[in-house]
Amino acid sequence: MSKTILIVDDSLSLRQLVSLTLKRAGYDVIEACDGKDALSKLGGSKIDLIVSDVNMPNMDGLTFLKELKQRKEYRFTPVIMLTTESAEDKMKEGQQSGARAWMVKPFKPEQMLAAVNKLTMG
Amino acid sequence: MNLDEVLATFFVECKELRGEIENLLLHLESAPDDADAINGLFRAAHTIKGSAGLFGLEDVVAFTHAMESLLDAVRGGQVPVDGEMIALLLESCDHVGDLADHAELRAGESLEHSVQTRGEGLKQRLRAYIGGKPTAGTAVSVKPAMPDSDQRSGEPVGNGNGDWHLSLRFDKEILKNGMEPLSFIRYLATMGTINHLVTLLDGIPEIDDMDPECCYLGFEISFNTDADKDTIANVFEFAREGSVIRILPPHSKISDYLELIQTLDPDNHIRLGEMLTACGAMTAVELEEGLRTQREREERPEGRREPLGEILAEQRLAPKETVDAALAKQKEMRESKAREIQYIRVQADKLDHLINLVGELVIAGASAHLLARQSRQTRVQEATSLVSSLVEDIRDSALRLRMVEIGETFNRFRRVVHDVSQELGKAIDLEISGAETELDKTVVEKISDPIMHLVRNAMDHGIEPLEVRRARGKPDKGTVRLNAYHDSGMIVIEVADDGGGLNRERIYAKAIERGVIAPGQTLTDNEIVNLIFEPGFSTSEHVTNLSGRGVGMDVVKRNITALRGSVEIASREGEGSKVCIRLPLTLAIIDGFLVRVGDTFFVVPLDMVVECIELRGQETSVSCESSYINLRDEALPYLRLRDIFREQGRRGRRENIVVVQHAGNKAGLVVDELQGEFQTVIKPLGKVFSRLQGISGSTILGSGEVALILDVPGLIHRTLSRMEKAPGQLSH
Amino acid sequence: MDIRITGSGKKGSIVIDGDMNIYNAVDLKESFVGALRTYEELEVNLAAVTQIDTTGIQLLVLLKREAGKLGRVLRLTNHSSVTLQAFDTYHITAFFGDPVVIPSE
Repeated sequence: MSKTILIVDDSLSLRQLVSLTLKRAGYDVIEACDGKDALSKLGGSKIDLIVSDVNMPNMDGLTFLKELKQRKEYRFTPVIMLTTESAEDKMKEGQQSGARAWMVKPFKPEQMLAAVNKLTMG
Repeated sequence: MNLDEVLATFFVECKELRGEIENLLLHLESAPDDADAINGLFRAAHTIKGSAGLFGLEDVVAFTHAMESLLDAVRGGQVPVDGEMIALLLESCDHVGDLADHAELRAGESLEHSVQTRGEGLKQRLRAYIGGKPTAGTAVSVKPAMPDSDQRSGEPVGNGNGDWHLSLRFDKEILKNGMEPLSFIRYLATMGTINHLVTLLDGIPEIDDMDPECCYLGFEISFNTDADKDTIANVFEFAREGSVIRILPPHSKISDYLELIQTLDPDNHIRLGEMLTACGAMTAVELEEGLRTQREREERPEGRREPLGEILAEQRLAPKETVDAALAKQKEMRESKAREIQYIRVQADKLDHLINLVGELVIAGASAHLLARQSRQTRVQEATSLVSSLVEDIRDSALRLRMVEIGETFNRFRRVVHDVSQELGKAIDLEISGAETELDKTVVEKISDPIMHLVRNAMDHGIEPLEVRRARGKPDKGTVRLNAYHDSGMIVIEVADDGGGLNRERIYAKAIERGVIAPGQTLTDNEIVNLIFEPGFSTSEHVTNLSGRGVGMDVVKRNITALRGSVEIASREGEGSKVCIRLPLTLAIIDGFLVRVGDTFFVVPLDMVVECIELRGQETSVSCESSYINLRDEALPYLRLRDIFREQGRRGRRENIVVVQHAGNKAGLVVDELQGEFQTVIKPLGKVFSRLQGISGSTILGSGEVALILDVPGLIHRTLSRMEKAPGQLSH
Repeated sequence: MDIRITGSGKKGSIVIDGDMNIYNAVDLKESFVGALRTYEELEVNLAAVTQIDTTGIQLLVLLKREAGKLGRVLRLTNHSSVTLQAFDTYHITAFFGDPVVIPSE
């Protein structure tokens, strides 16, 4: 059974490219443009991994993460946070919310695929 | 979806984000402390960089990185926003546009030297703003700082089989974060061969203390691969924190293994040692010998353990990738952005194709409807009328798909106004209203240039110099207003200014001088100001940089007329001017009213038809080309289409008048027969007919015949001008 | 996930239907511990296990270890293919010592 990945980013082209890469590797992909959109698209269905940007309009990645962890059926879902290499102190806030996997933008599509593979080859 | 299409999305997105950056920068001019705006700026730059990196557009990445760094410093409060910075960022934003254009249009070619030089200059200035601090490179990932342990000669070397040795002790909490050791190990297996693996089960506590959601397992792995240490270490990158991950290269020294044993399992050397021998990392003899040596060393007075040295691949990693978590509340950050959620992006040509097909469907539907009517079979007629009404709905929905808000176009003028006002040295504000008014995308694309011209014109000629404004008691800052609204099937776009207005006498004099009108001709005030749209008219006494480009108001008018629209100006001297553009909402399909004149069919756009009345005998006696009828005590000028188009064909039993209206003026069009409402697809007239007066397009009827679409604004204008030239002919 | 525990006298049987993953780990532990205290001979039927992760494996290890301490018998039977794969990844099939049917490729 193919795994389902939710990609949350406000950049359409980024979503499309990540989605294209993952689909070619056999994943199912759901796209959302911000945290709010992502929460609305979860809908109780099985999600194997979430890739989420941190800095987004409407609902940022960390708020999304906190909300996600409140939901019983997603509290253990792995999340890769996409971020930028700056202000180190701010990473801590994310860690407190249970963010463990970080990827620095910009990344290459194959880096994303590798990261997803690492976390979902269960 | 393929890569090219995604790349195309990126370029569109990049353009939008640049627009956003511009708007936010201009907004910051008046509100330099707006945290939401600063955040938005950072995010936009960050998004461009992130996506560009994904597509491997390194020039864009490197440059936006410099912008992002400055914006990050601004966001952090280290650097205040000032006008110079805004100008610099605007320039940088343009540069990003050039870089993106280059990548889009000349991918593979190297950057032009001038662009490159400008980029370097801008980057330097951006950096200088942060206070000369060297910014981090465009790090893609942070590499572990540890080099592989190299071999020192003379020391015993274990592990003859050339395998790497991995010791993994995962952080207890990782499972709760969705990290799964099974998954890591399976991924590891894709990079090489796992020759031995021992799962350490001892860590699982007593039954009552065991938290079933925690991870208690450890692993010793003997792994054969061509991959390097970083690559192996990266398999566990997400589990790194709180976990112990040791990686020993093949042919490591026995002492390294011993150190490993000691650090990992100080209380139980033997147990781990057994693991290592089980994994083939070393032999039992080597292990025993090694442990003995180590004990001896410990017993020496200095008694210190050897430093762990370079065998630790993972413990002291360079500072992790940092996290962007500024995340100030972004409650209502741009509602329009929020609405984007519900959008699906569709390529415009797909939509155009759909609309073309719907157009064909409309014609085919009309044809079927006609046949059904002729067949006189009720059920067939009922069926086709149901189809017709559905087709109508589809047509409306299809056209609505292509409707876009004019706001985006309006917003582009913020930058124009900003730049031009600096160029001219006039302080001018742009006010926008009606941004949510929708119109067809094809119209939007074509109307941008005319509006641009009008805005520049308003700034250049409309808004007075500061002294004049003060003398007139006006505020120092001039205002240009863009407004849009819907009005009876048309969109009205207004470009207004609070400048000096038009000087009627001067226009009148100039019109005579240029031969636009005859001397002595009487014109209303309104007509005089609208003369500026006549070909070859320019009121500027001194040609400035802006207006001296050879594009006159007549070109504006021509462009708008080509869109089946009209334009007029209203002006009060000393108070300002307002240009009013009326455009059809769509260019593709119109609801028409079909009429016959002689043997020719004409279509009158339905939204301009007010009513139809029979032309009774007493009025027809007036044989002059233009005349009046008394319509409920109102003088209605009318035109005989038969005369205008020199139709010779059969006459109707009695003539009819179609009363049409445009921009507040009414006129009657005399036709032979009324055929009823009719929806139709506009086919543009070929070049040959483009100068045909009174006709704006053609269409094909269901029967296969061609019908001409009447240019109602043109005809009304013609009627009115005749009426004024010959005012004495009112007949009651 | 559905856990059915049946038994009579000394012999008990646990049938796990569904995912043995972290979402069910707390429930699973409770059932395991309860069954272990009730029966001297316990069979865990893994035929209907649709997914197993580290938490599931740890619980089976725990059960096996505790059974050994108490001198009780634990048998894992009818391993579903996902279970076998996970055991294989962790090289712990031998630890449990149960006969497994290796599916032919």
